[in-house]
Amino acid sequence: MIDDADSLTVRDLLEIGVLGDASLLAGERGVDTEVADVRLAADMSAVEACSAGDLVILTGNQPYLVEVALRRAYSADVRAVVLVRPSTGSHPLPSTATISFANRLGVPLVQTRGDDPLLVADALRTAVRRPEVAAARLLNAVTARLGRSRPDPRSVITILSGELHVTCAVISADGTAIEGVSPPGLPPDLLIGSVATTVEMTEGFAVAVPVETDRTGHVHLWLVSHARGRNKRWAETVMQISQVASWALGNWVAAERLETERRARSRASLLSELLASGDDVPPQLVQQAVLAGWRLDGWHTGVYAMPSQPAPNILDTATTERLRVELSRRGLHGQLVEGAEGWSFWLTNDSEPPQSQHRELTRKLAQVLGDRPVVAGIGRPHPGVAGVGRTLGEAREAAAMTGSAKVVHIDELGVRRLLSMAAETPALVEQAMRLLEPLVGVEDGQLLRTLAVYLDEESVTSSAAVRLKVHRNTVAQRINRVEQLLGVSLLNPDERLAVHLACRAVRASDE
Amino acid sequence: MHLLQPDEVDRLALGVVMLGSGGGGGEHETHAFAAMLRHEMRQSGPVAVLSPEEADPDGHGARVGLIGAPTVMIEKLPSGLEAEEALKALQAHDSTPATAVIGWEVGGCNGLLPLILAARLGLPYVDVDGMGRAFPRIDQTTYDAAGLPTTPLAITEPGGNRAVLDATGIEKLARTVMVDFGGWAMMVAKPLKLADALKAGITGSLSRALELGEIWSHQTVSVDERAKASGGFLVTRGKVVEVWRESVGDFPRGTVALRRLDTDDAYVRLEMQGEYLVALADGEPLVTTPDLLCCLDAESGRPLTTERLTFGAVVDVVALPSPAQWVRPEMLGRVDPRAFGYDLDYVPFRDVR
Repeated sequence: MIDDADSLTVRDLLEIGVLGDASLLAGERGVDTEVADVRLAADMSAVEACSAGDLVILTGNQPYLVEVALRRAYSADVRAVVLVRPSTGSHPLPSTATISFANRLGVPLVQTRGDDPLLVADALRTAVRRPEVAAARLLNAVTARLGRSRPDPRSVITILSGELHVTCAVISADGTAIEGVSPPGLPPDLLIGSVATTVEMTEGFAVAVPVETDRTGHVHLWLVSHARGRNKRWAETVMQISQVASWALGNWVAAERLETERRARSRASLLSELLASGDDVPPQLVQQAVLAGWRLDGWHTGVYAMPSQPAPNILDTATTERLRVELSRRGLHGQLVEGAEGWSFWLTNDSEPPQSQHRELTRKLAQVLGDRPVVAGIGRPHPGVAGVGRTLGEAREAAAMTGSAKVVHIDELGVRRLLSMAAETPALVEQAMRLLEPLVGVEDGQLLRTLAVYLDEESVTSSAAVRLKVHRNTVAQRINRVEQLLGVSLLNPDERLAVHLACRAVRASDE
Repeated sequence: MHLLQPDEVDRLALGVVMLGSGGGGGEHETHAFAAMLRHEMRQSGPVAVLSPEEADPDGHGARVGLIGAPTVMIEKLPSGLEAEEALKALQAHDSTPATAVIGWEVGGCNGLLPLILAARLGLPYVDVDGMGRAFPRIDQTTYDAAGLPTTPLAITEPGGNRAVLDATGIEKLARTVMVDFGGWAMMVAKPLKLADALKAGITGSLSRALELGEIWSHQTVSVDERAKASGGFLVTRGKVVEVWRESVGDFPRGTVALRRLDTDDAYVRLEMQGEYLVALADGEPLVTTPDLLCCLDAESGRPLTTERLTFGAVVDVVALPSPAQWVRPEMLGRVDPRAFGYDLDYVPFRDVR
């Protein structure tokens, strides 16, 4: 768990990177003790002057000196002994005897590289005694570097990992790492919220900061930093600095978005690329989609609208804009992309939308399209990046099969297709004509109409009577007559189906 | 008066090597001088070793010492006449006559050289020296501490080069000349008045060497018992797991980690320059200079100098007490660990076992 105490432990100091390129040589047992102060010891008397809770930086590194220092450190309850080796030149590691001794004492023996022990001492002391100054220094360093470079995900990650010794990634809401590597074991629900969050990880903690949020409060892009250590103050520092970095990234998103808007046409090609990539969407495509302001996570319901007859002037920017306005006026806030043959449009929900949504969507779309010579198809809801392509594909298929209707849902397509096939098969139509021949012209076609309505109303006499505006006994009598004339029994399922199909085929061919 | 016989030379050689504390030349180097000494004795008879009481206080004792690396002598052999020539060169500048020979540094080769000179010149050896053991610097003597002069100092080498030096900072000058002379050279310093030498010096050091030689030549007695008989103790038996040497400053430095054979995962560290200077265990100094440290090969029982200590060797580390003269507050500053650059204080000699 993240430690509530303000004091840093030896482990914290090793992990937050104030010791630079440091390694723990021995004394693992003692690394979780808190460090109260830092001392630089040029000789043994300085080591002897140390008090409990101190961390000692030795300027000398002769083996005997290190061992004597370790012994005195142990009896004075000193928390760790740090050796500073010049960054150039090769030095042997501390002797086996020294390491064995430190392990027996349980006094952490740390070796770091640095040319000036004083600088090491200063950095450590500031971190231990005045962590807010250390944090401010880091913040300064990060902002200065952010200011010098044009911040994009790559440079921001380089800066953060360089200064804070964390691993960073810029991650879209669906979990794709646009830049950097997503820390393994990152809880997936971290990216569902809309505010900066810190979570514990198996090693250290992760901080997720929103980079870009849309009007609904949904976060499209996150900056996630994974740091080692458990110290609360350190977690706060990482959070603060990540926040600053996220603003720089937000700036980058805005600039890129503007550029993308300027190239609206690129949306069409982006969408076709997205559709072509199927289930395996490459990260750079995800990045472009996020920059275009497209939400890729959640459940998408696609709509494809296209002219119902060849109309050269209908697919233009002005129509697209009008459609966009009308869609959002009816509460349909989604992405509208103008293509070469029609418009792709999709809505995104956080969770799987209820079945009722598609009826309402059908109704609203019919209103939007009004009397324009445009038809539309609706796809089933599908989740994730790949879901966009899938639902739009279904919508397109549905739109091609609208027939007489204005708006068609993919689920209605099966029946409709069967029926339209029936109407388009001449042999079947001929057979149907022949079957229904006895009824043609009888009672001014009333018998045929009654039969069709009766079968459409699932052979319920009363429902058919309501639609035909006659008494239900009339319907019953007419059906009796039909059965006699055709020589069939509508109680027989086979015969009923054949007659029903014949009715539909005849009606379709009439239209 | 003790007449030193040729059959005592081997024991004496072992004794001076023990007093070398790992420096001043080991068995290999002293062997040559022991042979030379026996040769002289066979020609000129045994050397008279006078105890301090027997010496004439008004006489003057010349002291002789080798400066440089004893190991180089294997490549650049001594003629055996260097000390005599140095004394002649000195007497050309300083008329003080030498009526006896005294010791400079009893530890290592330099423990035998005065006896060779005494045998050649037919002078008695007065049992006193300036160190009571071996030290790297020529001014690390109780003579110097008492303010007795080292200069004029004559320095010679087998090739015939000779120099007479007179300077305040003689250590540095002599060492510079020695390097030019080819790695080692022989020095003879201005003879000291015996009364002064005996007052300031460490008396009975040759007898001590003979005593140690006697004790340590008994290979059948355990190291532990021999150490106790010598007034010291066995620090540890250990295997050398690390030997790190570096050449910074005036003398080569080194540090050795020995893994103790009696306990698991416990180490003894030896810090050395020319000599073994400090023994530590777990960051605690056990034995510190001027107390003596000797490493003996556990298999052969022979003393190992700092140069010959190698990875994998199993050694017995023996501590012997320093001559009492050094362990006085006004003297320690010359020879304690700080004098050798270690950030450690002298730890009074005690058996840490």
